[in-house]
Amino acid sequence: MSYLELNSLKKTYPNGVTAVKDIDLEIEKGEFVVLLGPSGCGKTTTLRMLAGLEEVTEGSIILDGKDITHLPPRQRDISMIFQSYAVWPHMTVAENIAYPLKLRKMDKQAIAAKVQEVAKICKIVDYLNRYPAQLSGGQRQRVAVARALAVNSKLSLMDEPLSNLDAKLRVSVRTFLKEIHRNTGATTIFVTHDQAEAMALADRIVVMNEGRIEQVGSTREIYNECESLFTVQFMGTPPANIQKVALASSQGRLVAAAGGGEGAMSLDLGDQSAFPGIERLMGEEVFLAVRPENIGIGEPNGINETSIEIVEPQGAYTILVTNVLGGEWKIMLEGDVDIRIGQKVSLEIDPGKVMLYDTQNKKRISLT
Amino acid sequence: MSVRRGKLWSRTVFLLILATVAGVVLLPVFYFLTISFASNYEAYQFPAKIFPTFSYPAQLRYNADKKNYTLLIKKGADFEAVKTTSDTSDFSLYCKSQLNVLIASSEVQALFDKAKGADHAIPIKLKKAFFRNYVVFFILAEGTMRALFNSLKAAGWTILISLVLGGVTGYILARYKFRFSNTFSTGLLVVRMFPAVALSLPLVVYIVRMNLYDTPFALAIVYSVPNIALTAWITSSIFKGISVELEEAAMVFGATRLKTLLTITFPLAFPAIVASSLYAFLAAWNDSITALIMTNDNPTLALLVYRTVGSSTIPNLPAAGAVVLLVPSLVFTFIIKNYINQLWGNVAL
Repeated sequence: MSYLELNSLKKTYPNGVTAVKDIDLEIEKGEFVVLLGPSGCGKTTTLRMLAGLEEVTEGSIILDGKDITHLPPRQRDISMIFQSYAVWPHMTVAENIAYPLKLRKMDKQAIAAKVQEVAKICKIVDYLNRYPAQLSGGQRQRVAVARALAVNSKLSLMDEPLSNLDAKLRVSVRTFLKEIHRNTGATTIFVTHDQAEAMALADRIVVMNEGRIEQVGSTREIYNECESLFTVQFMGTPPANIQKVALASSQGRLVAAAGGGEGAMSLDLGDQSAFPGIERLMGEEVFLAVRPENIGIGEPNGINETSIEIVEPQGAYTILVTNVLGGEWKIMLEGDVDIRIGQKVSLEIDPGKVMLYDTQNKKRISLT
Repeated sequence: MSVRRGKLWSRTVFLLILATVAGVVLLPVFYFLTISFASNYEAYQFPAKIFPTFSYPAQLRYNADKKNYTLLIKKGADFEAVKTTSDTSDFSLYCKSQLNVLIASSEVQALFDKAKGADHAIPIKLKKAFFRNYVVFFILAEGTMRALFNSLKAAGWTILISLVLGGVTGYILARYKFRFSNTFSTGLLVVRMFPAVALSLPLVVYIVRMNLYDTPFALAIVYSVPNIALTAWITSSIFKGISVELEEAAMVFGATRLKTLLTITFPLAFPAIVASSLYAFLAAWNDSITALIMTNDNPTLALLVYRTVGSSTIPNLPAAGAVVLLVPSLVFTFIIKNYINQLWGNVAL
């Protein structure tokens, strides 16, 4: 039995909208799990159900062997960091941190000691007597973290805690949160729509879409072994390039082809014998997904002679935009590349990194 | 050059307008204050004094032919005879009632003797009892202290009823979406438009049936009707401004719903609560028309002042009453003015 279990969790609002449809998830003690998805995918609703701030319509939540599905928030032994920080403006930093401890009936000296301890960890000792209005956004965030840290709860919930910070601060607070998790080992569920955040922080990522779980896995699995078309399109900056192709056999080799005439696509995926059971898909149409960094420029394998429309240098890498059969494709090349707009190039797609998806159920087609 | 002159002009005009506005607002208040310190004699004088006086430049003359004494008070360049008598207690009474000067008969006798000894009018100094009108208002006007307490009670009840009912309504309007919630909050404003008289006349019947007639509590009920609406209106906008996440955070970290309300929501809404209580206080404190309808033996202070106006031909006593009426409002407003500022944006929440 896992530390935290979500069994067929479902949430339907009184207005009839079903935000969460059937979520099953098991989380081990000490794991850092990120719920990732676009807005409206149900990730925040799931988190709020865990917190007890949202009534569960169906299903159950088991935390550490105890059914907490219908308990009020205060009886769940959880802590939470909110998007707006939610530090109470009429209390000083010290009072903010002490408030949950007072509610837990800790004695005064223990509270004072605990406040000092977590303030030291979060580097806010100098601000303990200030009010939140006198602090910057990043400092307020640290207060929220300190408050959550102080209660030493069974489960730590974070609802997009970095989205109100500016880009630079976001990265440093991200590192800080990871450090804290490494030191405390608190079981953490973190909600975000930012995949960079998710990939940097998570032990496991749960990709959600339209109230369902699309895929659960490590950063590497979520990025390189996308199980659904949604995940492959959602993950990556820029996301993967998608093209509908027909699979065919040519002289014992598996070929993915699309379009005709100029700009047609023909990709040699390798020796057909390496793909057992591929016969059933011969002549069928499938979605082909390939990440921008898995496309090179040089020997044509995929697209012959296409012209570059946009060049976006990023310092460490360069993003090229080209038109493939009416769709926009992005190519990511390492370093500063000397390619001009309008230049004709041939694309070399790494056949080993290509992912194929069923056009009907949008699930990945296993090629092994 | 002409630009600078234009600037000077606009500055002058601006200052003139400002001075006029200040004059229009402040002069009547100032005049009222002066009048409230004036004796009956002064109140009848024309032109009226701008500043309150502390004493009278006066003379006392012995009329040898009639064997009596004449009191003269300086008016312009001359002295005007205001009282002629040979009786010391008559003289003393006149000083007290007309001049607000407290002088004992024995002292009058001494002055008489001195004037008799001299062959011309002797200068005397009559010192005014400065707060005499206020003393009279409190001691002589019947039941002033009781009326003051009635006013305070009515105001207290009004604040309590308005805050409890209006505050809860405001919270519900801010936190819960329900059908007709917009209609409901507009409806609140309509309630506020009802004239108090229109409400109190039919209400009197029920008040009498409930055995509440002639009590401050009954007054508070009438005052509360429009104030509940106003309080709901003010507090709902503040409650809306308090992030729900602040309340949720408290609940996640171990607080019950009630504890959250008491330790998070109410302290944050405090400026709105204070502002609403100011409105409730002022509505109750300033009213005399409802009190006129709803009370008989237990008038409020405002009603008492109104009655004083009715029974007096000289404005000094009602003016003193009005100042008495004004002081608690001022004190109350000054105590809470910081919170009001907070409500209207001087201090960020």
